[in-house]
Amino acid sequence: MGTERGLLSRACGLLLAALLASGCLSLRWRRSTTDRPPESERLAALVPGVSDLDACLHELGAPNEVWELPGGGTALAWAWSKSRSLGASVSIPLAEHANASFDYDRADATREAYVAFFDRSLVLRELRRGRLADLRAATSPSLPEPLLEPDAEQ
Amino acid sequence: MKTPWIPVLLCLLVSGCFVSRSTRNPALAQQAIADLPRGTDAQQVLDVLGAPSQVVQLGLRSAWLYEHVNHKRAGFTAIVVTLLNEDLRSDRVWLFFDEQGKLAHAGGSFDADGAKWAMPWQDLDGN
Repeated sequence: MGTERGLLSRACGLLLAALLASGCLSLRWRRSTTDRPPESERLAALVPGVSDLDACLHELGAPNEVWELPGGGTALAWAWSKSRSLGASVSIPLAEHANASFDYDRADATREAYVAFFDRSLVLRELRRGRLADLRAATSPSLPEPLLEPDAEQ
Repeated sequence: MKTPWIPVLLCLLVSGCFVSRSTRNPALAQQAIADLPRGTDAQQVLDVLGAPSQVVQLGLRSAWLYEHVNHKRAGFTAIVVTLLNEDLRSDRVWLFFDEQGKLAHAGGSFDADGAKWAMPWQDLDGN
């Protein structure tokens, strides 16, 4: 009986402490998932130099992104992301006009992708995995130099 | 003795619980897309499916994206702890047109219905 009462009072104490701290302490656990990676068996069915655009679309479905490659080729990306973050923040009023706060967040968000590179005839040349932003930046045609305004004085 | 605590605890625990769903673009008509034969004119595709979400120029060719996104969120806040899960999945159809503006290739993925409400520790894919 005494043990039960002790447990109950400890639980109440813990609850009260949590309630009192709720304004200055917060803990977060967040997960965010976008789309899913293609299945490895379907990727294995694609052969560079042999598979064409139709075969890729048949095996992997519709890509997330499509862009033109320098030289007239085409790139298709099947992308996904999965991020988890754990966070904590503590905020303590120190004086009438001063607050101390501490925020900690740990997240590993990445948007990965399989990118299929096709030549002008839409035959698969290469299938690469990596961060979508990096693969896209490395293979997008560079923007042309902006046209210079003719100098009025010349 | 225990009875009064249970509703109080329940109220405290469920006070910050929510689920939400947001979508972008209406669901795609799978049958209408499947019925589009190769060689269909771009104008005919427009008449059947309406304006695409995105158009990508590929030299003289082009690719059109039709997309429907389903975004589900589930959250739970108990006093100092907040748990949040977001799951976003989409239906996508890419139509590739040749230099003459005729439909040459098409690919579709229909996964939007697979988005789930869950907590961060739960398995989303049932593996």
